[in-house]
Amino acid sequence: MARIYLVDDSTTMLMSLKAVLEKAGHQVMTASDGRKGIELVQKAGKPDLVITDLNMPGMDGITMIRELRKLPTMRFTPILMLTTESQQAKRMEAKKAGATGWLVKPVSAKDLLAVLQRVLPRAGAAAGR
Amino acid sequence: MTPGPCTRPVPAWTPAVPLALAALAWLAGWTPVALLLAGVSGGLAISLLAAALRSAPAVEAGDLAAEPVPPDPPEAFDPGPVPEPGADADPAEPDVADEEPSPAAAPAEIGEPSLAETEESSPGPEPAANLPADVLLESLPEMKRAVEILSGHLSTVVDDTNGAAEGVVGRLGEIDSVVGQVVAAVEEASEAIASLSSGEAARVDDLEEIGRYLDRRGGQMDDDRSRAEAVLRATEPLSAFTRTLRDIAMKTNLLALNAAIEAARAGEHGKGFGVVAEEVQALAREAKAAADQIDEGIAAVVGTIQDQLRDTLSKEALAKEKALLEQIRESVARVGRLREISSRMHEQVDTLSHRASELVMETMAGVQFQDIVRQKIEKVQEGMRDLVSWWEQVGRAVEDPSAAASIRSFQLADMASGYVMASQRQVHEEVAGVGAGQGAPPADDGPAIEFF
Repeated sequence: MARIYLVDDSTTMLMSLKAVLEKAGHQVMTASDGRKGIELVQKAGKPDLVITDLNMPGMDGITMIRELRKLPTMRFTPILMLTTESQQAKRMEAKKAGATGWLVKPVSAKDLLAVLQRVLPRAGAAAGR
Repeated sequence: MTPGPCTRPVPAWTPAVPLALAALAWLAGWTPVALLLAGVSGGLAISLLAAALRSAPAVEAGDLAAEPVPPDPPEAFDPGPVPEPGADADPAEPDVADEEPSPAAAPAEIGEPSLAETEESSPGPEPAANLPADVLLESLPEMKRAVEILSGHLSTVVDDTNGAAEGVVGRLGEIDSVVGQVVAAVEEASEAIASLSSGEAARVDDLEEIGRYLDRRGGQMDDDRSRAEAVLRATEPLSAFTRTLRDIAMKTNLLALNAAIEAARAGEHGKGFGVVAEEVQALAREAKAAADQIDEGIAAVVGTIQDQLRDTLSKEALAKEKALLEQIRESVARVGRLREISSRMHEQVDTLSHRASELVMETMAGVQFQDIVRQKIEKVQEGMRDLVSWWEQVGRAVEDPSAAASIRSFQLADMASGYVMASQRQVHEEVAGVGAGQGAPPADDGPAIEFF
């Protein structure tokens, strides 16, 4: 079980992904933009994974990643982008900001869980960090 | 406030109302209602545009705009590559340019030179001449294509929603069939268990019977043993008694011998003694015989008791035990079969519920389409607002030439700036053309899942 933070301005997205991830046994917390995502990390502590949208009112996803990477606890935490956008230019921007990967909406539950398998630190390693 | 052609404030929001309702319907899960409303919204928007165009001063745009208002706009506006001179939908388009003179009548003459100017500097914000004729001229085809693009967006929305709805329905169907399989498996297993367990209840009785028998039998053996021991113990004083009898017989015999000797020594006077002595000797013999008979009798009793016990322990008891053991064996076999059925059922139910859980997760993930559709519809609404507000500006400029300076021609490229997904750019490019400088930045899309 991992602790996962979802950042998206669409409540539908949050609802959908939260349902899938919780059904898969993960603990999920949500935030509606980048600023609130950072607050969530500061208040609720370091997650095992962050999944964020790109375009959000307030702070966008890439800016949030840039800010989160400045926090010592968040330097190695995987952060995935999940957005309708699929352009290379934006991907490169996110990569430079410190994103771990890029998923184009919509993502199937099967694919999402497979991605999680890949990016989530093993249970032991997670405890160590 | 504005006479004639301008009736804007209301129309600007008209398409948004059904769209909002459509969005609500999405959230509520009423797919068909939402689709219908989205369609109505598109239709409204387009008829709105038609009205706007029709009422535009002097432009023969009424025909042009009226045509793209079929009963089901999104379908009819399939964003296929629309040949520029607009095959079916707009024979009017080129004509519009030709007929331009009429709208601008007086203004057109003054507008001519500025048209040349703007063409050089376009595309870009272009302060038009003090009259909007050239702007209109330039914008009309753009606007037609803008409507096509917006319709194209709505078509992709319809495709998205159809796909999502079909996906949801398909997965629900699968879930239903999986649940049906689970129910069938459980029914099958419970039937098997029921058929076994009626026998099983009997077997449980058997087991209780076996237990009772073993208890009873253990007690019985103890009773038998203690009874036998009591009998044997009871015979012991009898043996002592027979010994005493033999002693008496022996001593009586000696006494009789002595009496016989004494009788012989007494001669004639002793004859009576001799008779007594014989009688006593006979008594001694009888006493010994009696003692022997008693011994034999005891031995016979003991033997009989032992034989009886042995019989009890072997014959019927063994037969009974055998039967019970057979019952036990059967019961165990039944229990084994029960376990087999239950583990098979367990396995089956496990597999099916795993599948059902996957399907439920995919269905939940399917809700994401709403976010995509929302963004597309928002973009369409934005485009419609842009169109309407441009027409409002034109209307104002017609009435007040001093406002004309601030009008720039309608630019498709403005629409492209806010696109957030590949399908939006694709629709735009299909209508506007990539090379026209009006399209979105060329699509340069990566894979759906990428790790950095």
